[in-house]
Amino acid sequence: MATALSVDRLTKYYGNLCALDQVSFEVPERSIFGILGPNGSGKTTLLGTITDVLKPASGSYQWFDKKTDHTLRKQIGTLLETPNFYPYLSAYDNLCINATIKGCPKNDAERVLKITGLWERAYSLFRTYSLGMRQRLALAAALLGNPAVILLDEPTNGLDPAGIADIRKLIIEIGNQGKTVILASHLLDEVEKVCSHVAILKKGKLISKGAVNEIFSNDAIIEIAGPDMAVLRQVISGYPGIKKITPMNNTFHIAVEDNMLDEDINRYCFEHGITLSLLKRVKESLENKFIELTEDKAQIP
Amino acid sequence: MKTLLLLEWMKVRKYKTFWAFIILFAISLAGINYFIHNVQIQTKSLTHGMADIQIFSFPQIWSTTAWAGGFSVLLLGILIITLVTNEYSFKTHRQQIIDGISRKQFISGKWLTIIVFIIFAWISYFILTLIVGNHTENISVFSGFDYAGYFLVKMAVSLSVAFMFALLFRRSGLAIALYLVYVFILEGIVKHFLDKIAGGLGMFLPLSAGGYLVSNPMRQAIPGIETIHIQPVWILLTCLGYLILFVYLSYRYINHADL
Repeated sequence: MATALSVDRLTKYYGNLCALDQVSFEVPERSIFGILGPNGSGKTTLLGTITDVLKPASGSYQWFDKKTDHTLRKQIGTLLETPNFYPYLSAYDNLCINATIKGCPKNDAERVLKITGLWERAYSLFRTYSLGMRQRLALAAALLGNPAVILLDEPTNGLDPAGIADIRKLIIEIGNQGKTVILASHLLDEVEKVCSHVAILKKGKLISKGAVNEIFSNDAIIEIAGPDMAVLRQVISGYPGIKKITPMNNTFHIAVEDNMLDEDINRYCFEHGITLSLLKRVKESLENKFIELTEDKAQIP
Repeated sequence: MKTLLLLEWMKVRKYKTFWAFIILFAISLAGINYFIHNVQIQTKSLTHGMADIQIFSFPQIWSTTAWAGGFSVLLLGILIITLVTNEYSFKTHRQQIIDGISRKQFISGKWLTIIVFIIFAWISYFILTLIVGNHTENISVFSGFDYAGYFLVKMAVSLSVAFMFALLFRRSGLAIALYLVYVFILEGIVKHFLDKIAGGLGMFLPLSAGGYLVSNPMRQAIPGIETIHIQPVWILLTCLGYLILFVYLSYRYINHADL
Protein backbone atom coordinates (compact mmCIF):
# COMPACT_ATOMS: atom_id res chain seq x y z
CA MET A 1 0.00 0.00 0.00
CA ALA A 2 1.25 3.45 -0.85
CA THR A 3 2.34 5.77 1.93
CA ALA A 4 0.64 9.11 2.50
CA LEU A 5 3.15 10.30 5.06
CA SER A 6 6.39 8.94 6.35
CA VAL A 7 8.10 10.45 9.36
CA ASP A 8 11.72 9.60 10.00
CA ARG A 9 13.41 10.14 13.38
CA LEU A 10 11.79 13.53 13.88
CA THR A 11 13.23 15.39 16.87
CA LYS A 12 12.27 18.77 18.25
CA TYR A 13 13.36 20.69 21.33
CA TYR A 14 11.79 23.61 23.15
CA GLY A 15 14.79 24.85 25.07
CA ASN A 16 15.91 21.83 27.05
CA LEU A 17 12.60 20.06 26.77
CA CYS A 18 12.54 17.32 24.20
CA ALA A 19 9.09 17.65 22.63
CA LEU A 20 9.68 15.00 19.97
CA ASP A 21 12.24 12.29 20.44
CA GLN A 22 13.22 10.36 17.29
CA VAL A 23 9.65 9.77 16.22
CA SER A 24 9.27 7.54 13.16
CA PHE A 25 6.14 6.07 11.63
CA GLU A 26 4.32 5.69 8.35
CA VAL A 27 0.75 6.53 7.54
CA PRO A 28 -0.67 4.17 4.91
CA GLU A 29 -2.78 5.80 2.23
CA ARG A 30 -6.54 5.50 2.77
CA SER A 31 -6.17 4.78 6.48
CA ILE A 32 -7.68 6.70 9.36
CA PHE A 33 -4.58 7.15 11.41
CA GLY A 34 -4.84 8.17 15.05
CA ILE A 35 -2.10 9.94 16.96
CA LEU A 36 -2.94 9.38 20.57
CA GLY A 37 -1.34 10.90 23.60
CA PRO A 38 -2.12 12.84 26.75
CA ASN A 39 -1.86 16.63 26.83
CA GLY A 40 1.70 17.75 26.28
CA SER A 41 2.82 14.50 24.69
CA GLY A 42 3.92 16.21 21.47
CA LYS A 43 0.92 15.64 19.19
CA THR A 44 0.54 19.25 18.10
CA THR A 45 4.30 19.66 17.82
CA LEU A 46 4.34 16.64 15.54
CA LEU A 47 1.54 17.99 13.35
CA GLY A 48 3.07 21.47 13.37
CA THR A 49 6.36 20.04 12.16
CA ILE A 50 4.88 18.05 9.29
CA THR A 51 2.99 21.14 8.12
CA ASP A 52 6.14 23.34 8.21
CA VAL A 53 4.84 25.59 10.95
CA LEU A 54 7.59 24.32 13.25
CA LYS A 55 11.16 23.52 12.35
CA PRO A 56 12.53 20.18 13.61
CA ALA A 57 15.97 19.93 15.21
CA SER A 58 16.63 16.78 13.19
CA GLY A 59 14.85 14.10 11.25
CA SER A 60 12.66 14.41 8.20
CA TYR A 61 9.21 13.76 6.81
CA GLN A 62 7.82 13.08 3.38
CA TRP A 63 4.34 13.48 1.96
CA PHE A 64 3.17 11.08 -0.77
CA ASP A 65 6.73 9.74 -1.15
CA LYS A 66 7.72 13.01 -2.79
CA LYS A 67 10.20 15.68 -2.00
CA THR A 68 8.20 17.97 0.22
CA ASP A 69 7.55 21.50 -0.92
CA HIS A 70 4.77 23.88 0.02
CA THR A 71 2.52 23.11 -2.96
CA LEU A 72 1.96 19.59 -1.61
CA ARG A 73 0.21 21.13 1.37
CA LYS A 74 -2.51 22.39 -0.95
CA GLN A 75 -3.66 18.75 -1.12
CA ILE A 76 -3.70 18.45 2.65
CA GLY A 77 -6.54 19.89 4.70
CA THR A 78 -5.33 20.79 8.16
CA LEU A 79 -6.95 21.81 11.42
CA LEU A 80 -4.08 22.64 13.76
CA GLU A 81 -4.74 23.18 17.46
CA THR A 82 -7.02 26.21 17.30
CA PRO A 83 -9.18 27.74 14.56
CA ASN A 84 -7.14 30.56 13.01
CA PHE A 85 -9.24 33.18 11.23
CA TYR A 86 -9.56 36.93 10.84
CA PRO A 87 -12.15 38.03 13.45
CA TYR A 88 -13.28 41.03 11.42
CA LEU A 89 -14.16 38.94 8.36
CA SER A 90 -17.18 36.72 7.88
CA ALA A 91 -16.81 32.95 7.81
CA TYR A 92 -17.35 33.04 4.06
CA ASP A 93 -14.71 35.74 3.48
CA ASN A 94 -12.28 33.85 5.66
CA LEU A 95 -12.79 30.65 3.70
CA CYS A 96 -12.30 32.58 0.45
CA ILE A 97 -8.79 33.42 1.65
CA ASN A 98 -8.11 29.75 2.40
CA ALA A 99 -9.59 28.77 -0.97
CA THR A 100 -7.39 31.28 -2.79
CA ILE A 101 -4.30 29.77 -1.20
CA LYS A 102 -5.44 26.23 -1.98
CA GLY A 103 -6.23 27.28 -5.53
CA CYS A 104 -9.76 25.91 -5.39
CA PRO A 105 -12.87 27.73 -6.63
CA LYS A 106 -14.65 30.00 -4.17
CA ASN A 107 -17.95 28.13 -4.49
CA ASP A 108 -16.24 25.32 -2.65
CA ALA A 109 -16.57 27.51 0.45
CA GLU A 110 -20.34 27.12 0.17
CA ARG A 111 -20.04 23.33 -0.07
CA VAL A 112 -17.89 22.96 3.06
CA LEU A 113 -19.99 25.43 5.03
CA LYS A 114 -23.03 23.29 4.25
CA ILE A 115 -21.25 20.07 5.23
CA THR A 116 -20.29 21.56 8.60
CA GLY A 117 -23.73 23.07 9.17
CA LEU A 118 -22.58 26.70 9.11
CA TRP A 119 -24.16 27.89 5.87
CA GLU A 120 -26.88 29.85 7.63
CA ARG A 121 -24.24 31.83 9.50
CA ALA A 122 -21.83 32.09 6.59
CA TYR A 123 -21.97 35.89 6.49
CA SER A 124 -21.63 36.45 10.22
CA LEU A 125 -18.31 37.80 11.37
CA PHE A 126 -15.95 35.16 12.76
CA ARG A 127 -15.74 37.29 15.92
CA THR A 128 -19.39 36.50 16.67
CA TYR A 129 -18.91 32.72 16.40
CA SER A 130 -19.14 30.46 19.44
CA LEU A 131 -16.31 28.10 20.32
CA GLY A 132 -18.08 25.14 18.73
CA MET A 133 -18.84 27.08 15.55
CA ARG A 134 -15.23 28.18 15.30
CA GLN A 135 -14.15 24.58 15.52
CA ARG A 136 -16.63 23.63 12.78
CA LEU A 137 -15.33 26.45 10.61
CA ALA A 138 -11.79 25.20 11.09
CA LEU A 139 -12.98 21.79 9.97
CA ALA A 140 -14.70 23.40 6.98
CA ALA A 141 -11.40 25.03 6.04
CA ALA A 142 -9.69 21.64 6.25
CA LEU A 143 -12.25 20.19 3.83
CA LEU A 144 -11.76 22.92 1.21
CA GLY A 145 -10.68 21.68 -2.18
CA ASN A 146 -11.51 18.08 -1.32
CA PRO A 147 -7.95 17.24 -0.23
CA ALA A 148 -6.47 13.74 -0.43
CA VAL A 149 -5.25 13.92 3.16
CA ILE A 150 -6.99 15.48 6.11
CA LEU A 151 -5.01 16.33 9.21
CA LEU A 152 -7.05 17.00 12.32
CA ASP A 153 -5.74 18.08 15.71
CA GLU A 154 -8.32 17.51 18.44
CA PRO A 155 -11.22 18.15 16.04
CA THR A 156 -13.95 17.64 18.62
CA ASN A 157 -12.51 20.22 21.01
CA GLY A 158 -15.17 22.52 22.37
CA LEU A 159 -18.07 20.74 20.69
CA ASP A 160 -21.26 19.58 22.36
CA PRO A 161 -22.12 15.84 22.29
CA ALA A 162 -24.20 16.20 19.13
CA GLY A 163 -21.37 18.10 17.48
CA ILE A 164 -18.88 15.45 18.53
CA ALA A 165 -21.07 12.72 17.03
CA ASP A 166 -21.44 14.75 13.80
CA ILE A 167 -17.72 15.23 13.44
CA ARG A 168 -16.93 11.58 14.10
CA LYS A 169 -19.48 10.53 11.52
CA LEU A 170 -17.97 12.99 9.09
CA ILE A 171 -14.46 11.67 9.68
CA ILE A 172 -15.60 8.10 9.04
CA GLU A 173 -17.40 9.23 5.88
CA ILE A 174 -14.26 10.96 4.65
CA GLY A 175 -12.31 7.79 5.37
CA ASN A 176 -14.86 5.77 3.41
CA GLN A 177 -14.33 8.05 0.42
CA GLY A 178 -10.81 6.66 0.21
CA LYS A 179 -9.07 9.60 1.80
CA THR A 180 -6.35 9.48 4.37
CA VAL A 181 -7.25 11.00 7.71
CA ILE A 182 -4.68 11.74 10.39
CA LEU A 183 -6.36 12.42 13.69
CA ALA A 184 -4.56 13.61 16.82
CA SER A 185 -6.50 13.15 20.01
CA HIS A 186 -6.14 12.66 23.72
CA LEU A 187 -9.41 10.73 23.74
CA LEU A 188 -8.79 7.05 23.40
CA ASP A 189 -12.48 6.49 22.89
CA GLU A 190 -12.39 8.76 19.85
CA VAL A 191 -9.40 7.03 18.34
CA GLU A 192 -10.84 3.60 19.00
CA LYS A 193 -14.19 4.47 17.47
CA VAL A 194 -12.84 6.19 14.40
CA CYS A 195 -9.34 5.02 13.53
CA SER A 196 -7.90 2.01 11.76
CA HIS A 197 -4.32 2.65 12.83
CA VAL A 198 -2.78 4.35 15.80
CA ALA A 199 0.52 5.72 17.04
CA ILE A 200 0.76 6.46 20.74
CA LEU A 201 2.92 9.32 21.93
CA LYS A 202 4.13 9.91 25.43
CA LYS A 203 6.45 12.74 26.42
CA GLY A 204 7.59 13.07 22.83
CA LYS A 205 8.39 9.40 22.43
CA LEU A 206 6.49 6.99 20.23
CA ILE A 207 5.63 4.14 22.59
CA SER A 208 3.39 2.04 20.39
CA LYS A 209 2.08 1.91 16.84
CA GLY A 210 0.00 -0.42 14.72
CA ALA A 211 -3.53 -1.39 13.81
CA VAL A 212 -6.07 -0.30 16.39
CA ASN A 213 -7.46 -3.78 17.02
CA GLU A 214 -3.96 -5.07 17.75
CA ILE A 215 -2.99 -2.30 20.10
CA PHE A 216 -6.17 -2.33 22.13
CA SER A 217 -6.90 -5.99 22.74
CA ASN A 218 -10.25 -6.60 24.37
CA ASP A 219 -9.51 -8.26 27.64
CA ALA A 220 -12.32 -8.92 30.04
CA ILE A 221 -11.90 -7.55 33.54
CA ILE A 222 -13.36 -9.58 36.41
CA GLU A 223 -13.54 -8.45 39.99
CA ILE A 224 -13.03 -11.17 42.58
CA ALA A 225 -12.73 -11.43 46.35
CA GLY A 226 -12.28 -14.23 48.82
CA PRO A 227 -11.89 -14.75 52.58
CA ASP A 228 -8.08 -14.74 52.41
CA MET A 229 -6.88 -12.31 49.79
CA ALA A 230 -3.22 -13.41 50.03
CA VAL A 231 -4.07 -17.00 49.28
CA LEU A 232 -6.49 -15.94 46.57
CA ARG A 233 -3.79 -13.99 44.87
CA GLN A 234 -1.42 -16.91 44.95
CA VAL A 235 -4.04 -19.25 43.57
CA ILE A 236 -5.40 -16.96 40.89
CA SER A 237 -1.97 -16.10 39.57
CA GLY A 238 -1.62 -19.75 38.65
CA TYR A 239 -4.81 -19.67 36.61
CA PRO A 240 -4.13 -20.41 32.93
CA GLY A 241 -4.91 -17.42 30.73
CA ILE A 242 -4.59 -14.80 33.44
CA LYS A 243 -3.06 -11.61 32.12
CA LYS A 244 -2.94 -9.21 34.99
CA ILE A 245 -3.95 -8.86 38.63
CA THR A 246 -4.70 -5.40 39.97
CA PRO A 247 -5.41 -5.08 43.71
CA MET A 248 -8.38 -2.85 44.46
CA ASN A 249 -10.06 -2.04 47.79
CA ASN A 250 -10.48 -5.52 49.28
CA THR A 251 -10.85 -7.04 45.84
CA PHE A 252 -8.76 -7.89 42.81
CA HIS A 253 -9.37 -6.89 39.24
CA ILE A 254 -8.10 -9.66 37.01
CA ALA A 255 -7.67 -9.39 33.26
CA VAL A 256 -8.44 -12.49 31.21
CA GLU A 257 -9.27 -13.34 27.61
CA ASP A 258 -12.66 -12.07 26.66
CA ASN A 259 -14.04 -15.54 25.90
CA MET A 260 -13.20 -16.88 29.39
CA LEU A 261 -16.29 -17.93 31.37
CA ASP A 262 -16.99 -16.77 34.89
CA GLU A 263 -17.93 -20.36 35.87
CA ASP A 264 -14.48 -21.59 34.92
CA ILE A 265 -12.85 -19.12 37.26
CA ASN A 266 -15.23 -19.98 40.06
CA ARG A 267 -14.65 -23.69 39.59
CA TYR A 268 -10.87 -23.22 39.46
CA CYS A 269 -10.84 -21.29 42.72
CA PHE A 270 -13.17 -23.79 44.39
CA GLU A 271 -10.98 -26.69 43.28
CA HIS A 272 -8.04 -24.89 44.87
CA GLY A 273 -9.86 -24.53 48.17
CA ILE A 274 -11.17 -20.98 47.89
CA THR A 275 -14.79 -20.01 48.03
CA LEU A 276 -15.17 -16.72 46.23
CA SER A 277 -17.25 -14.15 48.02
CA LEU A 278 -17.40 -11.96 44.92
CA LEU A 279 -17.21 -12.64 41.22
CA LYS A 280 -18.33 -9.87 38.92
CA ARG A 281 -17.54 -8.73 35.41
CA VAL A 282 -16.48 -5.12 35.24
CA LYS A 283 -16.09 -3.23 32.03
CA GLU A 284 -12.74 -1.57 32.02
CA SER A 285 -13.04 1.94 30.79
CA LEU A 286 -10.99 2.77 27.75
CA GLU A 287 -9.57 5.75 29.58
CA ASN A 288 -8.05 3.39 32.14
CA LYS A 289 -6.44 1.46 29.37
CA PHE A 290 -5.05 4.63 27.93
CA ILE A 291 -3.64 5.71 31.27
CA GLU A 292 -2.19 2.24 31.59
CA LEU A 293 -0.54 2.56 28.21
CA THR A 294 0.94 5.94 28.89
CA GLU A 295 1.74 5.76 32.58
CA ASP A 296 5.12 4.95 34.05
CA LYS A 297 3.81 2.73 36.84
CA ALA A 298 5.04 -0.83 36.81
CA GLN A 299 2.40 -3.32 35.84
CA ILE A 300 1.09 -6.06 38.10
CA PRO A 301 2.11 -8.80 38.07
CA MET B 1 2.82 37.41 -7.11
CA LYS B 2 -0.67 38.27 -8.27
CA THR B 3 -2.10 35.73 -5.85
CA LEU B 4 -0.04 37.13 -2.98
CA LEU B 5 -1.27 40.65 -3.64
CA LEU B 6 -4.83 39.37 -3.98
CA LEU B 7 -4.51 37.60 -0.63
CA GLU B 8 -3.29 40.75 1.10
CA TRP B 9 -6.14 42.68 -0.48
CA MET B 10 -8.71 40.14 0.72
CA LYS B 11 -7.35 40.54 4.25
CA VAL B 12 -7.65 44.34 4.36
CA ARG B 13 -10.62 44.93 2.06
CA LYS B 14 -13.13 44.82 4.91
CA TYR B 15 -10.78 45.79 7.72
CA LYS B 16 -12.00 49.07 9.20
CA THR B 17 -8.70 49.89 10.90
CA PHE B 18 -7.00 49.71 7.51
CA TRP B 19 -9.35 52.24 5.93
CA ALA B 20 -9.18 54.46 8.99
CA PHE B 21 -5.38 54.61 8.65
CA ILE B 22 -5.55 55.32 4.94
CA ILE B 23 -7.95 58.21 5.52
CA LEU B 24 -5.85 59.48 8.42
CA PHE B 25 -2.81 59.36 6.18
CA ALA B 26 -4.51 61.48 3.52
CA ILE B 27 -5.76 64.00 6.07
CA SER B 28 -2.43 64.28 7.84
CA LEU B 29 -0.49 64.63 4.60
CA ALA B 30 -2.55 67.66 3.64
CA GLY B 31 -2.85 68.88 7.24
CA ILE B 32 0.84 68.99 8.02
CA ASN B 33 1.52 71.01 4.89
CA TYR B 34 -1.21 73.44 5.84
CA PHE B 35 0.34 73.73 9.29
CA ILE B 36 3.81 74.39 7.89
CA HIS B 37 2.35 76.92 5.51
CA ASN B 38 0.89 78.82 8.47
CA VAL B 39 4.17 78.71 10.32
CA GLN B 40 5.91 80.08 7.26
CA ILE B 41 3.48 83.01 6.97
CA GLN B 42 3.80 83.76 10.67
CA THR B 43 7.59 83.67 10.54
CA LYS B 44 7.50 85.98 7.60
CA SER B 45 5.32 88.54 9.35
CA LEU B 46 7.21 88.23 12.67
CA THR B 47 10.53 88.90 10.97
CA HIS B 48 9.01 91.60 8.80
CA GLY B 49 9.77 89.66 5.67
CA MET B 50 13.39 88.90 6.61
CA ALA B 51 12.79 85.14 6.76
CA ASP B 52 10.82 84.80 3.60
CA ILE B 53 11.70 81.38 2.41
CA GLN B 54 9.91 80.17 -0.62
CA ILE B 55 9.30 76.68 0.69
CA PHE B 56 5.98 76.32 -1.10
CA SER B 57 7.30 77.36 -4.48
CA PHE B 58 8.92 75.18 -7.04
CA PRO B 59 11.55 73.83 -6.79
CA GLN B 60 11.71 73.88 -2.95
CA ILE B 61 8.21 72.52 -2.53
CA TRP B 62 9.29 69.00 -3.56
CA SER B 63 11.54 68.95 -0.53
CA THR B 64 9.00 70.64 1.78
CA THR B 65 6.16 68.25 1.10
CA ALA B 66 8.52 65.28 1.20
CA TRP B 67 9.77 66.31 4.62
CA ALA B 68 6.21 66.90 5.86
CA GLY B 69 5.09 63.60 4.35
CA GLY B 70 7.65 61.81 6.51
CA PHE B 71 5.34 62.27 9.49
CA SER B 72 2.35 60.86 7.68
CA VAL B 73 4.41 57.88 6.60
CA LEU B 74 4.72 56.99 10.29
CA LEU B 75 1.00 56.21 10.15
CA LEU B 76 1.64 53.77 7.34
CA GLY B 77 4.47 52.30 9.41
CA ILE B 78 2.07 51.73 12.28
CA LEU B 79 -0.41 50.22 9.83
CA ILE B 80 2.26 47.82 8.54
CA ILE B 81 3.05 46.80 12.11
CA THR B 82 -0.66 46.26 12.77
CA LEU B 83 -1.17 44.14 9.67
CA VAL B 84 1.87 41.97 10.38
CA THR B 85 1.26 41.52 14.11
CA ASN B 86 -2.41 40.75 13.39
CA GLU B 87 -1.26 37.61 11.62
CA TYR B 88 0.59 36.59 14.75
CA SER B 89 -2.25 37.33 17.14
CA PHE B 90 -4.88 35.61 14.98
CA LYS B 91 -2.34 32.87 14.16
CA THR B 92 -3.41 33.28 10.56
CA HIS B 93 0.25 33.19 9.50
CA ARG B 94 0.20 29.53 10.55
CA GLN B 95 -3.04 28.90 8.74
CA GLN B 96 -1.68 30.31 5.50
CA ILE B 97 1.44 28.16 5.71
CA ILE B 98 -0.53 25.00 6.41
CA ASP B 99 -2.96 25.87 3.64
CA GLY B 100 -0.05 25.78 1.22
CA ILE B 101 1.85 29.02 0.76
CA SER B 102 5.54 28.86 1.52
CA ARG B 103 7.17 30.77 4.34
CA LYS B 104 8.96 32.88 1.76
CA GLN B 105 5.69 33.76 0.05
CA PHE B 106 4.23 34.86 3.36
CA ILE B 107 7.03 37.40 3.84
CA SER B 108 6.90 38.39 0.17
CA GLY B 109 3.21 39.25 0.58
CA LYS B 110 4.15 41.73 3.29
CA TRP B 111 6.96 43.26 1.22
CA LEU B 112 4.52 43.65 -1.64
CA THR B 113 2.13 45.44 0.71
CA ILE B 114 4.94 47.80 1.69
CA ILE B 115 5.69 48.48 -1.97
CA VAL B 116 2.02 49.22 -2.66
CA PHE B 117 1.92 51.57 0.34
CA ILE B 118 5.01 53.37 -0.92
CA ILE B 119 3.50 53.79 -4.39
CA PHE B 120 0.22 55.00 -2.91
CA ALA B 121 1.94 57.48 -0.58
CA TRP B 122 4.21 58.73 -3.34
CA ILE B 123 1.30 59.36 -5.72
CA SER B 124 -0.55 61.21 -2.95
CA TYR B 125 2.56 63.29 -2.35
CA PHE B 126 2.98 63.95 -6.06
CA ILE B 127 -0.59 65.13 -6.54
CA LEU B 128 -0.58 67.21 -3.36
CA THR B 129 2.67 68.93 -4.37
CA LEU B 130 1.33 69.81 -7.81
CA ILE B 131 -1.82 71.24 -6.23
CA VAL B 132 -0.31 73.35 -3.46
CA GLY B 133 2.94 74.38 -5.16
CA ASN B 134 3.29 78.03 -6.20
CA HIS B 135 4.05 78.22 -9.88
CA THR B 136 6.62 80.68 -11.05
CA GLU B 137 6.65 81.19 -14.75
CA ASN B 138 10.31 80.60 -15.47
CA ILE B 139 10.73 77.53 -13.26
CA SER B 140 9.61 74.10 -14.38
CA VAL B 141 7.44 72.17 -11.92
CA PHE B 142 9.88 69.30 -12.24
CA SER B 143 12.90 71.22 -11.07
CA GLY B 144 13.84 69.87 -7.68
CA PHE B 145 12.16 66.63 -8.60
CA ASP B 146 15.13 64.65 -7.23
CA TYR B 147 13.51 65.14 -3.81
CA ALA B 148 10.57 63.10 -5.03
CA GLY B 149 13.04 60.27 -5.58
CA TYR B 150 14.64 60.81 -2.15
CA PHE B 151 11.19 60.68 -0.58
CA LEU B 152 10.66 57.26 -2.17
CA VAL B 153 13.88 55.98 -0.59
CA LYS B 154 13.09 57.55 2.77
CA MET B 155 9.67 55.87 2.85
CA ALA B 156 11.14 52.52 1.91
CA VAL B 157 13.62 52.68 4.80
CA SER B 158 11.06 53.96 7.25
CA LEU B 159 8.43 51.31 6.44
CA SER B 160 10.91 48.45 6.39
CA VAL B 161 12.16 49.51 9.83
CA ALA B 162 8.52 49.28 10.98
CA PHE B 163 8.28 45.82 9.42
CA MET B 164 11.40 44.71 11.29
CA PHE B 165 9.86 45.85 14.58
CA ALA B 166 6.69 43.87 13.79
CA LEU B 167 8.63 40.69 13.01
CA LEU B 168 10.85 41.10 16.03
CA PHE B 169 8.19 41.79 18.65
CA ARG B 170 5.12 40.09 17.15
CA ARG B 171 2.67 41.93 19.42
CA SER B 172 1.10 45.05 18.03
CA GLY B 173 1.11 47.30 21.10
CA LEU B 174 4.70 46.54 22.00
CA ALA B 175 5.97 46.77 18.44
CA ILE B 176 4.21 50.10 17.78
CA ALA B 177 5.41 51.61 21.06
CA LEU B 178 8.99 50.54 20.45
CA TYR B 179 8.86 51.73 16.85
CA LEU B 180 7.76 55.19 17.95
CA VAL B 181 10.31 55.29 20.74
CA TYR B 182 12.98 54.35 18.23
CA VAL B 183 11.84 56.91 15.67
CA PHE B 184 11.52 59.83 18.06
CA ILE B 185 14.01 59.10 20.82
CA LEU B 186 16.29 56.12 20.55
CA GLU B 187 17.85 56.76 17.17
CA GLY B 188 18.40 60.39 18.18
CA ILE B 189 20.34 59.30 21.26
CA VAL B 190 22.43 56.76 19.34
CA LYS B 191 23.05 59.36 16.64
CA HIS B 192 24.20 61.87 19.21
CA PHE B 193 26.75 59.44 20.65
CA LEU B 194 27.91 58.29 17.25
CA ASP B 195 28.39 61.87 16.17
CA LYS B 196 30.39 62.56 19.31
CA ILE B 197 32.62 59.51 19.01
CA ALA B 198 33.04 59.54 15.25
CA GLY B 199 31.89 62.84 13.83
CA GLY B 200 29.11 62.61 11.27
CA LEU B 201 28.75 58.85 11.45
CA GLY B 202 25.30 59.21 13.04
CA MET B 203 24.03 60.29 9.65
CA PHE B 204 24.36 56.72 8.50
CA LEU B 205 21.77 55.32 10.91
CA PRO B 206 18.73 54.14 8.92
CA LEU B 207 16.19 56.87 9.72
CA SER B 208 18.79 59.62 9.91
CA ALA B 209 20.03 58.68 6.47
CA GLY B 210 16.49 58.89 5.14
CA GLY B 211 16.03 62.12 7.04
CA TYR B 212 19.21 63.59 5.59
CA LEU B 213 17.90 63.08 2.09
CA VAL B 214 14.75 65.06 2.87
CA SER B 215 15.64 67.39 5.69
CA ASN B 216 13.63 70.14 7.33
CA PRO B 217 13.23 72.94 4.76
CA MET B 218 13.09 75.54 7.55
CA ARG B 219 16.69 74.81 8.46
CA GLN B 220 17.97 77.05 5.71
CA ALA B 221 16.07 79.92 7.32
CA ILE B 222 17.77 79.46 10.65
CA PRO B 223 21.19 81.07 10.59
CA GLY B 224 24.21 79.42 12.14
CA ILE B 225 22.87 75.87 12.21
CA GLU B 226 25.60 73.41 11.49
CA THR B 227 25.05 71.13 8.59
CA ILE B 228 27.22 68.27 7.59
CA HIS B 229 27.59 67.87 3.88
CA ILE B 230 27.67 64.39 2.57
CA GLN B 231 27.27 63.48 -1.07
CA PRO B 232 23.69 62.21 -1.49
CA VAL B 233 25.04 59.22 -3.36
CA TRP B 234 26.65 57.89 -0.15
CA ILE B 235 23.42 58.32 1.74
CA LEU B 236 21.49 56.63 -1.07
CA LEU B 237 23.93 53.72 -1.00
CA THR B 238 23.53 53.52 2.78
CA CYS B 239 19.74 53.38 2.45
CA LEU B 240 20.01 50.75 -0.25
CA GLY B 241 22.32 48.77 2.03
CA TYR B 242 19.76 48.89 4.84
CA LEU B 243 16.97 47.79 2.52
CA ILE B 244 18.99 44.82 1.31
CA LEU B 245 19.86 43.95 4.91
CA PHE B 246 16.22 44.14 6.04
CA VAL B 247 15.00 42.01 3.15
CA TYR B 248 17.72 39.47 3.87
CA LEU B 249 16.96 39.42 7.61
CA SER B 250 13.22 38.97 7.03
CA TYR B 251 13.71 35.93 4.79
CA ARG B 252 16.38 34.47 7.03
CA TYR B 253 14.10 34.85 10.01
CA ILE B 254 11.11 33.27 8.33
CA ASN B 255 13.12 30.28 7.13
CA HIS B 256 14.29 29.39 10.62
CA ALA B 257 11.60 30.48 13.04
CA ASP B 258 8.89 28.41 14.66
CA LEU B 259 5.66 30.08 13.67
